[in-house]
Amino acid sequence: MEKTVKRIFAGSLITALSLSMAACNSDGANGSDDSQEGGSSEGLSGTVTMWTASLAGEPFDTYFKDLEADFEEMHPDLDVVIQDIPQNEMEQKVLTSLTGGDVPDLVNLNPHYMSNIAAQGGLLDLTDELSDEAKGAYVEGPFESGKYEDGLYALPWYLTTTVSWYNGDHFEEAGVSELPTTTQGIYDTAKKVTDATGNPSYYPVINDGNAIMEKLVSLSNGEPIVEDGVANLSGNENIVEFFELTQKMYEEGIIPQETAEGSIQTGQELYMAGNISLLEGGVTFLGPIESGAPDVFSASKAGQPLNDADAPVNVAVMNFAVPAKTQNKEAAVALAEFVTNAENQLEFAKTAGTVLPSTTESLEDDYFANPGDSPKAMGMLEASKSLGRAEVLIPPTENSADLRLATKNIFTENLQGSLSPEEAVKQLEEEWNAAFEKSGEKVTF
Amino acid sequence: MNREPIVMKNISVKSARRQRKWSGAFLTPWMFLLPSIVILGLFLGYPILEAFRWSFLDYKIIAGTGEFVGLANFQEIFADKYFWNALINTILFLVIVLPLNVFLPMILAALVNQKIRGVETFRILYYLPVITPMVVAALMWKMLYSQNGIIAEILLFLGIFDSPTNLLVQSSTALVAVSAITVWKGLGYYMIIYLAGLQSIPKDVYESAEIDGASVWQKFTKITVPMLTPSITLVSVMTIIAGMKVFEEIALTTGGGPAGATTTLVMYIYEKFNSLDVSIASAAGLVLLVLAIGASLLQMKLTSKREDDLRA
Repeated sequence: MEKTVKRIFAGSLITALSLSMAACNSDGANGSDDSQEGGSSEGLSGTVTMWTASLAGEPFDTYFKDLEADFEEMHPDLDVVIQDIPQNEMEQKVLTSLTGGDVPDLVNLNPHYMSNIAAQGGLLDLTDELSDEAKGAYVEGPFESGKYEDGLYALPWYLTTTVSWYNGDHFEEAGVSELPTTTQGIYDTAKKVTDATGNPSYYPVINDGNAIMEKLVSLSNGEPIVEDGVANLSGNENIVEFFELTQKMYEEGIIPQETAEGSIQTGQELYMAGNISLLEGGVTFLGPIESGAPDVFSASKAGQPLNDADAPVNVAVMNFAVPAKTQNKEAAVALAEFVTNAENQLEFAKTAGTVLPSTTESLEDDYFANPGDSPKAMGMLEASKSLGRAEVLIPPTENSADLRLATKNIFTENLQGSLSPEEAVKQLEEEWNAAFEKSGEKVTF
Repeated sequence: MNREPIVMKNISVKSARRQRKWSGAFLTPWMFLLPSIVILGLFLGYPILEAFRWSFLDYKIIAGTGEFVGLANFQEIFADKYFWNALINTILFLVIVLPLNVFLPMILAALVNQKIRGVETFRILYYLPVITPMVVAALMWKMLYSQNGIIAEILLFLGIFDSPTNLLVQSSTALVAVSAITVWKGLGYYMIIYLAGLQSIPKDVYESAEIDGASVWQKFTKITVPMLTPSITLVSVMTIIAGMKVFEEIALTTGGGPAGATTTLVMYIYEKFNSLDVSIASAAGLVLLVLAIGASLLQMKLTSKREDDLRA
């Protein structure tokens, strides 16, 4: 009997020691990294192909080469193939591969296209593929952007949040020292700068309508503009004021005519040429300006978005999704976790210099509190400051294309004076409601 | 010499015919045509049939399945104001481009058909836009049209606008501005077609007219234009087909904007396809196909009637 008790005691002790050693090992390494080490990574073999979007060339080539080598070292029987696809070709390329048979195992997508593909059953539901620990490693808003209906279809990778960019020299010339935080403030500031420089000064980015939709949510400051699939825009004073004042600024030449074209690239070109002075965008905005117009780059300053200090701001997420037709599901999920773990995301953010990571642990790094004093670094600082109130303002929906098209067209018609601000807001509300009715979606944002 | 009549059985006559049918003389042309038939069938016939099928389904392209919905997709596009806007823009685009594409290259061809020194240089210069990649042409025209560009300056100087105006981003002028790019790009190509037509007109016709005292204008309108009717037919049909499927210049300069002012049918189809509404895109594609065939047939009928009148 005594022997039996001793055996049980010794066995328990050995088990406890083994478990604590295993736990110690886990603590020493990265958290999310371990989940694949101990879980799905066992026996991974074959080939796993990952597509990135417009990340070719240095310094990214070296970063991905190291990443590939590290993952292959962890899984000697696995061959990782990383291919870069130009961003503007990504959607067609993904569609072609998904309708054919030659699919990548892991693909870098934006949430809107991700939801389009998920709606057609093209992506793997990752809900049961990840441990709770891995799921909890990401910042909540970006993590939520990978969800569509009841499933989790993507893991967040890098982020950019909206900041405001302005030409410090032009502002000084106009005697403006502070950035506006209201639409009326934007009008007053932009008017002063235009009067001083003789050029248009403010460029509201329209893009495909999405940037304006996000702006409307920020302007609403917490009050939903769509509730259970019903839009209420005309009852929102801030939105009506935004339509009124943007129309007025366009008419007065404060907003350039090229705004109607809508893209951030056109805004960049105008900013580089000194033909506008203020706009909102991601930290990546300054990239081409640094090499294309060094004087404008050095005069550039960053600030918080042009809304109330506590208004929600948008976070743009690039994520990784696993196509449903993948031939190597386990390896794809393990690689997705590996690429998006805290350590690798921190390294990627440092390499890129213009993006934020989406894991809480990497965001705590000193790099984001003291990024330096270059204009780009100041942008990074402002972006990380606003991350606390940043969220994906427009959730992925099935009818997103209809919403964006209506927003783009109606905002432009308002800008050019074909519609009065009241008519424009009313029409936008009607078209959004028609789109929600058609798709039957009961979303709130 | 009495000979018995030879009676051939019907069956042997049939087999003789069949034998003749499958002889080398019969097969040879088909063998020459076979590669084209296979390629056309594979890359033209099959996609059209597939689009036809998708247009009657609620097709999920990734899943590769779709539920039969009858004419619902057609009903949806005909109820969509953006489809009608795209259709109207396509027709307007053709109305602007067709006469310009028919007459401007003809005038240019008549000019470069003269026997004067250095005319070859002009022929090359007029052909340059054809070989300029559309991406380059679009960037160049965007700069020319910009608020600080030369076109805005000229329009301001001429007093057409009170302030510098970018024609590409105004809803009222964007379609005309894009049409100008299309005309500029096709000018040299159509000029070559007319040049070939001009060089096939017998010189003695002009010589007779000169003896009769015809002026340059009379020779152009009474001889050149009528004798170029086959070239006009060709240019018109090509313009109609190209105009119906105009895409590149619009995608690269205006993206269909501002506010849908330059969204043509192909842009509409492209956007629908991009948002994975492939059944709607297919239905709109079929409407475009029918319109393009209809417009081309009408144009060919009108010009062949004119050719008959001329012969009479």
